[in-house]
Amino acid sequence: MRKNSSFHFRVCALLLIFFACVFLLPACRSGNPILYVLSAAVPGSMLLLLLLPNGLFPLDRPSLAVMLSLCGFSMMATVYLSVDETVSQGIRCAAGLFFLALGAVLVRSFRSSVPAAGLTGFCGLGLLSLPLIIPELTFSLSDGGMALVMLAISAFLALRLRLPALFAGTSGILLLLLQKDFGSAGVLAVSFAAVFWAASDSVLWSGISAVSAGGLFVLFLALPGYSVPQRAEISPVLSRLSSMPLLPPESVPEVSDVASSDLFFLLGEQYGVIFLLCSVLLLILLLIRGASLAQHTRKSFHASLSLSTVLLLGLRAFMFLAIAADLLPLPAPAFPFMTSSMPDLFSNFFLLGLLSGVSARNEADLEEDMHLAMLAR
Amino acid sequence: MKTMRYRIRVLTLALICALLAVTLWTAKSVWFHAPEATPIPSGESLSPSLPDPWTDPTPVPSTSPSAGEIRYSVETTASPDGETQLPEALFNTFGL
Repeated sequence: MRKNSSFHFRVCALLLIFFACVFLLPACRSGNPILYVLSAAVPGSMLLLLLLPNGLFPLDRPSLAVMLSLCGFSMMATVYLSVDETVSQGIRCAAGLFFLALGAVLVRSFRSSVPAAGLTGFCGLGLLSLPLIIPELTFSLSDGGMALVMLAISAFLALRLRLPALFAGTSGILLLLLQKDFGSAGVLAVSFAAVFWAASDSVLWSGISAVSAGGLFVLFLALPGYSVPQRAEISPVLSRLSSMPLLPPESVPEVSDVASSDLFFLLGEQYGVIFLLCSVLLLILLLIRGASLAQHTRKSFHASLSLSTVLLLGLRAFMFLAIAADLLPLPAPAFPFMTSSMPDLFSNFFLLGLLSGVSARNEADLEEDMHLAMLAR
Repeated sequence: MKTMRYRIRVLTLALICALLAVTLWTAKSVWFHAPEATPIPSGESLSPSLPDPWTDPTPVPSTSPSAGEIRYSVETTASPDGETQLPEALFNTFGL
């Protein structure tokens, strides 16, 4: 136990020193006072979150450390190009903490009942159908909607209500296909079929879920007027990636439009491909942590929920990389936690909040078991 | 619950393998990305921008000689049998 806490302490110390240096070096070069403030504020807020006592607010420390690193990377991407953009990204990440707390509280207080699952599913489908109801909407809330739909599916499967779970999943996929959001529909379809296979003991129901998810895609692709929205240009992504250095370059390359650029690619251009690989590895660590939480739960609802979170985050990253490698000709989604789009960032924080909630529930169960063991002695 | 745990492990492993595979594929396509060579159709010149001296009758305009540059001009004459002959003055110039 002492060995474990010492390891956590070292990892946290390394993280804080690294992010202090990342902002202090450009501050010393340019003499910008905002960067000096950032070099103290970013590691300070990270330390505050990592040391927050469990009694005050339950957070999963390992996944929180990974999330903070990815958020720090997203701030690093613009530190040499636009300090204002770095500050804006920091504010976005700070605002996202509200959704982290919301997710954690929702899981802790959620009771698997038909009204609760139905209401969550209804809210999720409502968020997914917003672009169809209001076509003037400039942003998409599909990530948040997908998270709520998966929460509802997990609750229905825990209650052994497979038909409502099937209805929620297929309705979500249908709404995304109607919006021509093919990437999100694919992520939801794979997550839905995988969770159905893991949580329902019936082979028949697993087959029905997979066939209905795949059948919707086939049906829409066969429709005469339906066309899959494709990326306008494919080659610039690969050429942009191939022009990136492996290690941090000596001179900072100029970028004309920082605000609209993808933070993942900006990070690669500023600090080298090595940081992009680190981001992917950090995300894999987060997935392993999520899977480990799913395996240590007592209730199938929490296990399904953790698995849904892992699948949603992992499949988003998979789709992002597959599109970057020209394997899928679709519009690229954002890499988890490394986006300047607020709805996407907040939905990622919400997903991590769900994982934190499951972790808190696991710890509460463990404490209860230890208490019972003590009483038995 | 035991089956579920096993399936969660399988799904997570599959997802991680897929992520690693697509990362390696991206790295491969980035670092071993070479532009495809365009095949030259037979009968076409390698550099179409330059005129072909054997087929293009347009003379290349000569520039005036710069300072210090010596240019020799050789006027050829046609012999009665049709063969091109070099002028006699050229042989005299080189002491032949």
